Amino acid sequence: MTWVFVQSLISGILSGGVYALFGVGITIIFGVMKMVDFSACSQLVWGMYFTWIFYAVTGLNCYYAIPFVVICMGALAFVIFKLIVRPLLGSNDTSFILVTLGLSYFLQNLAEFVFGTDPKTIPSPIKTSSIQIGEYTIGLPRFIAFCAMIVLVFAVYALLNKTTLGRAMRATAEKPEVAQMLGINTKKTFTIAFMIGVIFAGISGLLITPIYYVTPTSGSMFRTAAYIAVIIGGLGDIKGALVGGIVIGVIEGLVTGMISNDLGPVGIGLALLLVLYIRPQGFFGKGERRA
Amino acid sequence: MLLEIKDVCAGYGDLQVLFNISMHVNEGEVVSLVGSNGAGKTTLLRILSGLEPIKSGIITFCGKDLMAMKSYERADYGIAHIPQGRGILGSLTVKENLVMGAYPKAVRANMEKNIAKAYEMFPILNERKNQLAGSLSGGEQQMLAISRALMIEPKLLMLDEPSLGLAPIVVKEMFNIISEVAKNGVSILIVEQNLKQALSVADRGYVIETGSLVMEDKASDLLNNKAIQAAYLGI
Ligand SMILES: Nc1ncnc2c1ncn2[C@@H]1O[C@H](COP(=O)(O)OP(=O)(O)O)[C@@H](O)[C@H]1O
Ligand SMILES: [Mg+2]
Repeated sequence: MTWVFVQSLISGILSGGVYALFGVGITIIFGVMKMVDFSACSQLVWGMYFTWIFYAVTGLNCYYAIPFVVICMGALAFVIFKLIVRPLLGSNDTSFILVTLGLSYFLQNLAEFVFGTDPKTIPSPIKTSSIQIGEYTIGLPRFIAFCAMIVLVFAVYALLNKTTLGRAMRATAEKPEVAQMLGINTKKTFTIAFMIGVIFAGISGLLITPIYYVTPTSGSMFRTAAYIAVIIGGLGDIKGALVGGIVIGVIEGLVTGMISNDLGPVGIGLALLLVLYIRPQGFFGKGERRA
Repeated sequence: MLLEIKDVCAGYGDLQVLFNISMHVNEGEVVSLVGSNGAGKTTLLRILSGLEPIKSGIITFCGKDLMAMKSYERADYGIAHIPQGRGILGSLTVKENLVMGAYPKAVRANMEKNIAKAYEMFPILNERKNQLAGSLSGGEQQMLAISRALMIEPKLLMLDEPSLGLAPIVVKEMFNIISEVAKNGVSILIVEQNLKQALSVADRGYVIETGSLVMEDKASDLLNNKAIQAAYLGI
């Protein structure tokens, strides 16, 4: 029993890492633009396909694809921003929700159109490798994903707190008009925040290619779990997304490991209800309410 | 002439708020625009910062067409705006607020020097530099707002109701500081409901009533004007 518990806990924490990374991406976009990007799951799918394209061409494993995926996702983000997001700036939140939901289906269907529905895999010895610590097993891909998440989250944290660009993003997040008075081109900071968010979704996709099949609907498991992670963490707070992601991973890990494989989503749903009941603003949220 | 506003009309949607406003600020001058709540003072400053459009008229700054400049470019040209409510970035530290003040490229090199000046003028900001700016008192926030505005080494400093929400003694101090700043050659445009204070530090003044300028004169003459005393000062 203890073995099952600890083993489930370990895998839970590790799979929570990807939720956290994905959630931090959504959080950066929300933090700066005050808009929730509902197309992130489909961006993640495109991250997976870009990784697969890289593999198909070079034969190298997914981790070599990081620069390629960053560039592709950055370009994708830039186009989405110019064509879809920018015209919406200043309009109400509902239109952003509707448009990003629509975009989500578009990106998913585009993937289906281009790559078909049959699952693709990226074979590599890493897929099945694991680290053995005593009697516990840690899957290597999940471990790498977790470490990558930690590195990227710290990088973003440093960007936001230690650089001029980061401070400009925080200024824009708090008071866009004041930011403009100070000389900050807020459209540019919005673009950069959006690009970082989309790149994070893409990297999340890359990191799970050794774990899941690449299909146009592979993002669907993130549609609930990762957004719930962001909500219970307190929307708009990076620490919150990090902790929320790991908590959701752990709950999912414990429920699937100790109760039943099918009940993971139920556990996550219950966690959401519980947190909303006790602390509606989430762990780190300040209870800011928008219309 | 540093700033010249000619026949400006503006408003929100169908609602016209400003009617044929013509006024100017000379180099090195302190000008106060006074009028009661809802007269359109804030709207005018927001136009000057590029946050609201105009319907007609011309605005020039240093001879250049101001409305052709993007709002975020105006800091580069030397326009600093302390908005109503001070515009402090509460989630950034006091020091970070000052650092953000030096965002325009032309003044980045002078950042350390200007921060030192700010600390010299307001030692309390030095003591609180690592605190979140949101935790400062109203008076301290106004000091920070002024210091941050000075970081861009402005040609024109615009203040929207600097006295709002401050205790009378702090208000007095604030206007002393504004006079100090003016002595260093910065042109200042103050927008106020608090006529007496605003006109006592100004060279010239304008009175605005429901979107139209109704009077322009030397500030001291406006203060002694019987009609104004009756309407605004309750004398
Ligand atoms: N964002 C806005 N939308 C519509 N009307 C506005 C807006 N801001 C101000 N107003 C109106 O414009 C008029 C002038 O307001 P304002 O410029 O804030 O005056 P003041 O700063 O002199 O108190 C008021 O009647 C106000 O109701
Ligand atoms: Mg006002």
